[in-house]
Amino acid sequence: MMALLAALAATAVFLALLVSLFLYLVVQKWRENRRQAQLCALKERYHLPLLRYLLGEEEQLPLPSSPLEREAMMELLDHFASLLKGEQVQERIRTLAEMHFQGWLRRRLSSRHWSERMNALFLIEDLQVKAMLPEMERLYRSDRVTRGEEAKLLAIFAQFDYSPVVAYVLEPKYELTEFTYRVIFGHMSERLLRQVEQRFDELPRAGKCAFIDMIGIRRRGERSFLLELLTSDELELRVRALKAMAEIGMPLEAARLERHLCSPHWQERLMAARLAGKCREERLLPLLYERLGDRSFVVRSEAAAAIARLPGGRAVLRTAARTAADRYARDMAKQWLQGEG
Amino acid sequence: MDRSVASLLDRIYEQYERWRAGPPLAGAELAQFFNAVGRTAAVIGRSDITAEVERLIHRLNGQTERQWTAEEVLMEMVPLLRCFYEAGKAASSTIPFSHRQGPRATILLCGNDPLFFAYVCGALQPLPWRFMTIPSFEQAASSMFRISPDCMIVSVKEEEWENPDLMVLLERAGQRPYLPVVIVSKDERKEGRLKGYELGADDVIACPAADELFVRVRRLVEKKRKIDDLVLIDELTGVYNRKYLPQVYVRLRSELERSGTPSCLALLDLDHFKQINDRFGHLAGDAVLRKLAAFLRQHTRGGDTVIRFGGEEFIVWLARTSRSEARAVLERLRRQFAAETIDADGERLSCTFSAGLVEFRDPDQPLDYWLRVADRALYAAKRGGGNRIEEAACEEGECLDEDVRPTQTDQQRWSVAIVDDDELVRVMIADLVRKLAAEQEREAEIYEFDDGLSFLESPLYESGRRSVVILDRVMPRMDGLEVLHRLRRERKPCKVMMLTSRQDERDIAHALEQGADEYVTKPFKWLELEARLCRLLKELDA
Repeated sequence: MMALLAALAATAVFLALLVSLFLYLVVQKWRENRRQAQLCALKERYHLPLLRYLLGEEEQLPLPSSPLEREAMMELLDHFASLLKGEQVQERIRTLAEMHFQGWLRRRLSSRHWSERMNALFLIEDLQVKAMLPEMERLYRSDRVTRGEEAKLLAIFAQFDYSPVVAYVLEPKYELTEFTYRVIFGHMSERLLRQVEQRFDELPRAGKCAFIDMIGIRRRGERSFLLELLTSDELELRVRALKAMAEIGMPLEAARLERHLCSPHWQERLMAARLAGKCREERLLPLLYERLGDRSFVVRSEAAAAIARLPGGRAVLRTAARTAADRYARDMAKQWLQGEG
Repeated sequence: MDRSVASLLDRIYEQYERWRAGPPLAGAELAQFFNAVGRTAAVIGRSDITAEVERLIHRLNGQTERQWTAEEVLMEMVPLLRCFYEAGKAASSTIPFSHRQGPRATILLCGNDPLFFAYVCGALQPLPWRFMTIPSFEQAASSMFRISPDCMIVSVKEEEWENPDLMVLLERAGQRPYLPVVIVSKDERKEGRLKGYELGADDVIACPAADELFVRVRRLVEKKRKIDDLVLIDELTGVYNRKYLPQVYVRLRSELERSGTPSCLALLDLDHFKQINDRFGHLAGDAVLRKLAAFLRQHTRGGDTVIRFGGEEFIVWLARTSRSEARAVLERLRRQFAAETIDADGERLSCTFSAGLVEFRDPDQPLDYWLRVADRALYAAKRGGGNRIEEAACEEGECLDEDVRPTQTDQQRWSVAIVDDDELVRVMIADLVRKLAAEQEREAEIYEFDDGLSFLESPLYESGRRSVVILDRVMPRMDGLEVLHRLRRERKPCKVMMLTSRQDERDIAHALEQGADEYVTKPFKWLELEARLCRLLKELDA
């Protein structure tokens, strides 16, 4: 009997707990929905005045008075920043953010919640609020900074042309991925890139790879630097250097190219063939001709493409299609000639 | 251009390519590079370049804090580029006033030579020429027919002579009635020149100054006009002959399909012409024909076309004209011509004509059909005693209901559909349309849709009203290109502006091929958006 009573009591307590938890969740959801609805209404009220202010058609702007209004304004400003370009508009967005939202951003940056800090960083980036640099520096040095924040912070530092970023990418707190490095280097000014280049050896491997890629993407004529990399012991660095040179169309003398064309690694042969296609040197024809019979399909294909680009190359391909000793080479030459109509 | 100057220009070109690939730059960074250019120019004894560089740096530094995109820097560089291309003869940089007259023309610039093209556009700005630049040969070959330029200037680099895309481009240019092609190349070797002519260019020039390029291109444009005319002109009267009629039909049909603009075809016939021939002889008859042709040409607008259809029949095709307007125009012509006296072989006579009029508003009917309908109306006019205008009677199925036909008030009202899933974009553009409407003292009806499907299911789309449609390229449920495709397939009379968030040339070209009239990239440059939208809205009235 007692046991039954105890079980009943336990069940009642458990049920009460469940019901109260359910009610709590319902109320929370209702409050969140209401907040979102208010935000939407506020945004609707603000969007035209803000647009006209940003376009310089109006000089007056009703300023936000409550935290919710401020949030609505901030979200709108961020949205506008992604839709409008042009000197004056960007300038107006930045000054507005710096004048009225610094305190708000600062509070967000020092929040306990990761998501709030991260959102604040995105806003700072979108609105180019350079005045927040000291706060971001503080966040970067704090112990609670996470991997994601670090990547974002460094990318923003690079955009704001903030010199200490060079030291940070050489010794990041967490290991950065190649993609992150690429984003950071993509934003860096020439000045900062040169500083990184001087200390290239100190970069982690992912950083080195991304840095070399960036030379190609941004077409920086770093000839001597790339040539030095071609002598590296690391296959990956040699391949990327060749790729960057091909991207820029940086000529390389036949004797040096030959070494890479005969490499035991197909990746290196592939990129060397691609570079040869950009060099337009007739002396390369016999070397490339040999590669038409390469073990790897992609190298054969790239070699055929390179030959087609060289002066007199199409004639060579036509000959190869008829008379090459290697069947694969004949096939590739034929394929290439067909593809070009 | 001597070698040292050319290599300095190459350096600027390489640097520009780098800037284009990277993020916007600060003035200081740019100044650093241009300083180096200035120093080199001083060493090779080109003080004019040095001076221009200093002016440029002054302009760049005048706006501290500003970040420059590569394109903006290029616009600033135009005066500097002039020094390069005009070999120090800075005085000749403006085209003498007597040369500024030239025929209106659309010039297509293609090839990857942004510096030279920027210089050409900048230096020839005062001319009534519209320049369009397409960097890739392939792209130019596929968009050429849409643009239908009066002349094409192709910039070819030394290593591009063998480029298959270039051959395709020039081959296509040769397929048209006649499109003059000028090849501009830094390659001064004879082989290059010969190759250019072999490929079919009308002119191959090694990096000319703008004034020389202008004179040569103008000559070709004029020649093109002459050739086009020669083939299609009726010898006796100097107006077009009937060979030209299909071209007019195609042009006006595409106008009808793209913007719903109707036009009117009138078939005219001189009354009692046979009697004039019999009484006064053929010379007098010819004089009457010449008189009528000259009279019609003189009293119609530039967009209208006068054609001698055969014997004593003429066609007047009035572009962008509604039935009632056309009727009024023809009545006026008929009255005025009847009052004219004609000197015919020593005789003074007067003559009248009759006309059958039909409104061309169904692009699916062939040309012959319209000629038949107009001919029937002309026959009715003749039967009514001549010297009169008859409109084609509405036949079963070929006449719009009275209430669907746009009324006068519709003409005063712009209807605009904004199809975009981003609410803020809709708000911005709707606000802009209202502003433009207020400036033009118009009413605007604005419809907003947050995806393509709801637009296609809307009464606005069903009604087929003439409207401007602003289409986002990427939307949920149905993307903008698909909507555009439907619009064009069903021949809705809409002007379409695409909003693309990618600066992808292929994407833009694809949208244009699908029949978009304009495209704007996000994020918007506000003034550009305003200008393009304004143009489209005005075309609604045309």
